[in-house]
Amino acid sequence: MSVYKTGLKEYLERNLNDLFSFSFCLLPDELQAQQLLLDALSIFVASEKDLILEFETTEDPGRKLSLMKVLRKSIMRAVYHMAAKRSRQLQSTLSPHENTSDVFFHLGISQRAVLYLKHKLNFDFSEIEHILGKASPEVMGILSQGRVRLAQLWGQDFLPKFHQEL
Amino acid sequence: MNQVIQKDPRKKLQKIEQKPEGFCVHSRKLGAYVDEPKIMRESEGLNAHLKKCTDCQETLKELREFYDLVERNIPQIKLEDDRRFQIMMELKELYKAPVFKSLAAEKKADLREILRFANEAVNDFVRTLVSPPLVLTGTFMAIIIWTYKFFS
Repeated sequence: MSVYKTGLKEYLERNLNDLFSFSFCLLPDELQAQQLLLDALSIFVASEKDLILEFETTEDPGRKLSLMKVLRKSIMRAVYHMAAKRSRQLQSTLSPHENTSDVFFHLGISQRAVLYLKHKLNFDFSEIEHILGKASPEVMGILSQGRVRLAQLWGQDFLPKFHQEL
Repeated sequence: MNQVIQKDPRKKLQKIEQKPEGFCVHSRKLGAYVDEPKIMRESEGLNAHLKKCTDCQETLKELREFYDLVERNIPQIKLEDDRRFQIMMELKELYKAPVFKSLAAEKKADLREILRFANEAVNDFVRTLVSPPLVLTGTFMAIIIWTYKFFS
């Protein structure tokens, strides 16, 4: 099916892998990640009626593509904000997943989100700013700190001077 | 879960750490340029500097390698088929939301309009076909053709 003919249903089906893996990166438990994704999508559908209606009805290919980008970052934003609230509530109860020994999950939720969006899903800074609701320098700072922290967790206590100053 | 560390990151960091103190001042900016390729493409000054400065070239290479290493070692979970199926089943409930109902009603109304138009067109055509002037014309034409065929 052509990209221009797709509705939200087809879009979600096609991007379910990315959405679920992003949810899992924020809440490292498969069941929690599944519930997080479904709840975030429900909130998104309830709050973005106009966007959904326009996305479903527009037939202009250019408009459809730009709406698809807006849709993508709006869904990710809903997932991130819900995960941020939920991770605080679940901090003590979230059972460590068998794979959470991975040092990546020792990072803060915003660092994980930025690293994942930037490196795995190739979002640009303006989209990440929208998702996190933070300004560009703050996002760049989180990204840089995330990388440095990740490197430290790999076993290095300090980084070269030029890398610290990024 | 795809989380295999393909290279020992410590070796990479040790290599970066060996960088001498007096590195080029532009090297500090390179991280942002690597992160935002658009800025890099548009920054002619930096591109020109990079062609000349071996220090920056090396820093850029190291940064790219380091970021690449980070990228490869961020775990990415694979969505299993049964979980995908579960999510798809749950999503069916989502499509019952009012916004989708109004969309479905709109589509149904559009379809009804198209059907009404087609129905009227067919009716008009049949009505025209059996109208007295057309029947008379047809009969007249048939007589002319028959006469022509009969006498020729």
